[in-house]
Amino acid sequence: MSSGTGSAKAPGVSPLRFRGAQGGVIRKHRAMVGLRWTPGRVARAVSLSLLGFIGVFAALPLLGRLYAIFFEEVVWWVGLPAGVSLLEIHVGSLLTIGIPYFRLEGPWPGTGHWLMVGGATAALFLVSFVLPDRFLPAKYFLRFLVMIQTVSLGYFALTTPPFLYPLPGYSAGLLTAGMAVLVLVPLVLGLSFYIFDHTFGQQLALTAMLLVHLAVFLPLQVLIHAWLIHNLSALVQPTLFFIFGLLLQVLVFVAFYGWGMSWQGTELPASPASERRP
Amino acid sequence: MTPRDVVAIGLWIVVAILVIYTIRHYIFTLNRVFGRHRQPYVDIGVGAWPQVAVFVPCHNEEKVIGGMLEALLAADYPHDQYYIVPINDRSADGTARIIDDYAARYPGRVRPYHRTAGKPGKAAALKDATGHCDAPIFLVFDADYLPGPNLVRQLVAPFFDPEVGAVMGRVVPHNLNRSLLTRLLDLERSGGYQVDQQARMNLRLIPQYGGTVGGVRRSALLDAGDWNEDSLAEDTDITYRLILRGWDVVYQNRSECYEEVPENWPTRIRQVQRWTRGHNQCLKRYAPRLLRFPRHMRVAQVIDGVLLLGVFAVAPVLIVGWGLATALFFMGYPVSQSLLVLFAVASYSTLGNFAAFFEVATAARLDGSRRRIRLLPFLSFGFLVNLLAVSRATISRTSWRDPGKSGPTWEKTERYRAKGGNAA
Amino acid sequence: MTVLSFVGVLAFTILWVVLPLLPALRELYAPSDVEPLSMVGRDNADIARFSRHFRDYIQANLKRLPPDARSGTDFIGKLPDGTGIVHVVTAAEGHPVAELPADAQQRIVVLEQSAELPGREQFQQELWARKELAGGPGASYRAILGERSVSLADGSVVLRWLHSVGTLTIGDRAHLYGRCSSEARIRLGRLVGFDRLGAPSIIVGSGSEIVGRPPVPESMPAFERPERARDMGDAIRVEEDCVVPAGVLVTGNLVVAGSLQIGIGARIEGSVKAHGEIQVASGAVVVGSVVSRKAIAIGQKCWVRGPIISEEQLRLARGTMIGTVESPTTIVGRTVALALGTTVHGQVIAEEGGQTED
Repeated sequence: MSSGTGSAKAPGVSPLRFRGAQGGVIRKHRAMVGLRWTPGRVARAVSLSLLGFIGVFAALPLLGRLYAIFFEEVVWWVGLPAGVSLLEIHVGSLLTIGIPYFRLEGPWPGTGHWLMVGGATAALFLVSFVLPDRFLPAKYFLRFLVMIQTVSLGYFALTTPPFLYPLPGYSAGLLTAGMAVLVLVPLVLGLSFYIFDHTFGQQLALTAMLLVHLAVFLPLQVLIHAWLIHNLSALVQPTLFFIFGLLLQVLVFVAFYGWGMSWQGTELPASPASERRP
Repeated sequence: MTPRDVVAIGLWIVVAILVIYTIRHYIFTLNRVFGRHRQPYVDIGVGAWPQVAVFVPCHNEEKVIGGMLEALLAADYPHDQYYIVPINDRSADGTARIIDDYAARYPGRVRPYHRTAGKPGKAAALKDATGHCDAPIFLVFDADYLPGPNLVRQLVAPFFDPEVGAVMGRVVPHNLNRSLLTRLLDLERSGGYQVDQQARMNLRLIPQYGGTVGGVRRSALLDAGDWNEDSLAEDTDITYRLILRGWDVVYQNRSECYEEVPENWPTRIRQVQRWTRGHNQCLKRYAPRLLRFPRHMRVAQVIDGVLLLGVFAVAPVLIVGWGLATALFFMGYPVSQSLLVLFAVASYSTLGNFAAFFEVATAARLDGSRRRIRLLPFLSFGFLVNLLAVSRATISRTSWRDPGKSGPTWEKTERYRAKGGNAA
Repeated sequence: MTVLSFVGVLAFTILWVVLPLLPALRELYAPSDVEPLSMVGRDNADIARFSRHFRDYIQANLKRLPPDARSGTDFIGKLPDGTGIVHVVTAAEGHPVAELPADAQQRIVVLEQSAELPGREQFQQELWARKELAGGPGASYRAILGERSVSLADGSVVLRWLHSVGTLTIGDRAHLYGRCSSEARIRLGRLVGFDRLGAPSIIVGSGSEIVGRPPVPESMPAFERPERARDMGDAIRVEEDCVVPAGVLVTGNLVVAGSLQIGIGARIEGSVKAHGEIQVASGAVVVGSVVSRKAIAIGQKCWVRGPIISEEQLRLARGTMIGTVESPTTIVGRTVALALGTTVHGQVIAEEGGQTED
C-alpha cells in the first residue's frame, strides 16, 4: 500500500497553527489530551528517580546518626527513662546504617493501663455513634480504630508476658520501615510525578519538601510511639503500629502529591475547556 | 507448617491479589497518559443514521423526568429516525402524568410504555419495553441524566461498526459543589472514566457498558439472550454476555453526559452496595465462563475481564488481609528482623495504597481540573466508606444468590432536582 | 513538666503532619475548583462550526462600528473589541480587488467585492470574502470564510479553517490545516495536504460525480460461508482471514477476526469489519460501512456507502466513490490518501494528516 500521505509543511507554520485569534493557545478536548513519551521526559524521570534514590540511600547513615543525637537529647526532655543504642544494618558491603532505638521497656498492662486505655476505647466507640451521618467516614475510622484496639485488649487479657515485640525492637523496626519509605519516595515520584509536564524546578521542589518532611517526621513518630507505649503499656502498641505507623507516611505522601499535581505544568490544560475564538 | 505460617501464606496471597490490581491501576494510568488514544468513531458526523429508540426507565421520577425528556427532544438527530420511550414502571408519583403530557405534545416522538405487571426492576422494565420495539439501536439513559444535543449521534456512531454490540459514554457529575462527598465522587468518576475506561478501550480490553449513558444493538442484545430480568446489574450482565458472544463493547470518552451523584453518605452507601451485589452476581455467573478462555478472546481480555468482575470483591479481600496482618502481628511474625520484608511492607504500603490516588490525580489533571486534586487526601474517606459498604454487601447472601421469583426491586439513587423536571 | 514537654512534642508533630494537608483544607473550605466540567456541547464532527461562529462574531462587531466606519468607504481601524480590521468596500468598476492596504495582513480582512489577490501574503487574522475570492500562489491564511466561491492557488496554506458557501477549489501542493468545508463542492489538486474536509462532494483532481448508486447486477453467486464461521446476531463472524471471491454477493454483515479481501466486482449488501487489513479490489461495492483496526485500501472504481473507519491508513484509489449526494457519509483514518479521480460525498477525517496523490 503506498503511503502517499503526510503533510506538506509550510515554513514557520506550526506555532501559528495553534495560536488562538487573540494570542491564546487552542487546546485539545480533555477526552483527547495526553502527553508524549519523549526521550527527554523519560531521561529526566529516570535520572531524577535514580539520583534521588541513590542520594537518599547514601544519606541514611548520616540520618541515622542525626536521629541518634536527637533521641539522646530529647529522651530526658519528655521523661523517657531510656538510653539510646544503635542497631547496625548492613546493606551488603555498601553501607552500614545505624538505627537508633530506645533501651526501654513497654510494660505489661496494669490496672491503671486497663482503665485508661479501656475507658478511652469505650469513649471513642460511643463517640462514633453520637457523630452525625455527615461525619460517616470519621465514624467508620473511629470504629476501625476501636476494633483494632479491642483485639489488642482481648489479646492482652488472654495471654501472659512477655509481649512479642519489646519496645527496643519495635522502635528500631518502625524507624527502619520509615527510612525504607524515604528511600522509595523518589522511585514512586518517578513513576507518578516526574512523568508529567511539571518543570524541573517543580519536580525538585516537591521531592525536597516531601523528603525533608518525612525525615523530620520519622523520629518524632518513633518518639511519640515509644512514650505512649511506655506510659500506656503495650496495650496501645498494635493500634499505634497499624493505624499511626506507615499509614501516616502514606497520608503525608498523598497530601504532598495532591498538592504537587495541582501545580500548573507546561503542556496539559491549566483549566477545563473554556470558550475561545478558534 | 505452623499456624503462623498458614496465616502468613494467606496474607501473601491477599497481597498478591492486591498487587495485581495495583499493577493494573498503574498500567491503565500510564497508558491513558502516554498511550495512543482509541476513539475511532467520534469523528463520524455525517452518515446514514439508523433508527434509534431511546429508553428512559422510570420509577417515581417526577423530579427529573421532565428535564430528561426536554434534553432528549432537543437532540440533534434526524427526527424521523428517532423516538423516545419513557418506561413508567408502576410509579406512584406524577411520573406517568408528566410522560403522557409529553406524549400528547410530541406524538410519535415520545412513545410512553406504562408497565402495570411483571417483575419489578430496571432490567425487567427494559426487557419488556425493548421487546416491543424494532429499532436496530437502543439507547438507555437514567432519568436523572442530562444529555447534550449531540450525545445521541455520538453514541449511535459506533454502531456503524457491525461488531459493536454496546457503547458507553462518560458520566460527569454536575452537582459536585454540594458537599465534600460530591467533590470526592467527581474525582472518583474522573478516575473511573477518563483513565480506567479509556485505557481499557485503548488496550482493547473490556470497557464496561454502564447502563446509564449508552446503548446496545438490538440484534446483539437478542443474540446474547436479551436483558436478564434477575440481574441486579443488568449493565454488567449484558456487557459480559455480549463479550462472550464475540461482540465489541466501546467506550467513548468524548461522549459526556451530566449525572447527579449522591450528596450524602447513606445514599452513597446504598448505591455502592447495589453495585456490589449486582457485580458479584456477575462474577459468579461469568468468571467461570471467561476462565475457559473463549477462542475469540485474547488472554489479556480474559484476565482484564476477570479482574473487572472481581473489583467489588477486592474490598472484603482487603479486610481479610487486615485481619490476617493483625493475627500475624499477634502471633509474633518477626517483621522487624527482616529487611527485605520491611522493604516489601513499605513498598506495598506506598505503591499499593497509592495506585488509586495516582489514577484519580492523573484523570483530574487531564481534565484540566488541577486544583481539585488538592482534595486527594480526603479520598481516603471515600475509600474507607467504600471498603466497609462493599464488604458488607459482599458477605451478604443477596450478593451471591439470584433474587428469585419476585426479581430485583427498583433501586436507584435519590434525586435532588426540583419536582417537575427543572433541569438545574 | 515532662508530660507537658511530651504534649508539646505531640502538638508539634500533629501540626507537622497537618502541614501538607493545608492545601487540601484550603480547597475544602475555600473552593477554587468546584464547577462541573463544562460540557462543551459542540461536536468534534461539526466541521463548519468555527466559520459560523466567526460570521456571527464579525457581523455583530461590524454593526457596532461607528457610523463613519460604515459609510460605504474603505475602513482601516479597530473593532469594538480592539481587533484590527480592514474593511474593503470599494473596487475599481468591473474589476476585482487586486491589492490590499499595507498592514492588512495583520488585521481581519473583510472584502465586500470580488478579489483576486497576487499571492505570497501571510494573513495572520481571518479573511471574510463576501463575494468571489481567488487567492494567489504561496499565500498563507489563518482562516477564510467565503460567501461565494473560493479558489486558492498552488502552494496556499490555511492554518485553522476554511469555509466556502460556494465551490472551493484548491491548487496543487496546498495545505489545509484544521477544517475545510464547503456547502457546494471541494475540488482538490495534487499533493494537497489536509486534516478535515467536509462538503456534499469532495473531488480530487478531475474525478467525475456519479449521482445515485451503481446498478445492481441481475444475478450474482452467493457467498459461501467459510467453515469457521458462525452467526452473531445479524452478522456472520469468521475467526480467521477471509476472502470474498470476485463477483460474489454477500448479504448481511461480515465480521472477520483476521484480514479481509473483497474480490473484484464483489458486492456486500451490508457492513464489514476486520481486525486485520481490508483490501477491496476494483469495482467492488459495499452497501454499508467498512471498518478495520488496521489499514484499509479501497481499489479503483469501487463504491462504498460508508462510513469507512480505519484505525491506521486509509487509501482510496482512482475513480472510487464514497457515499452519494443524497446520502453523504464520513471516512476516517489515522492517515488518508486520496488518489486523483476520487469522490467523497460527506466528510474526510485524517487524524494525523491526509494528502491527495500525485
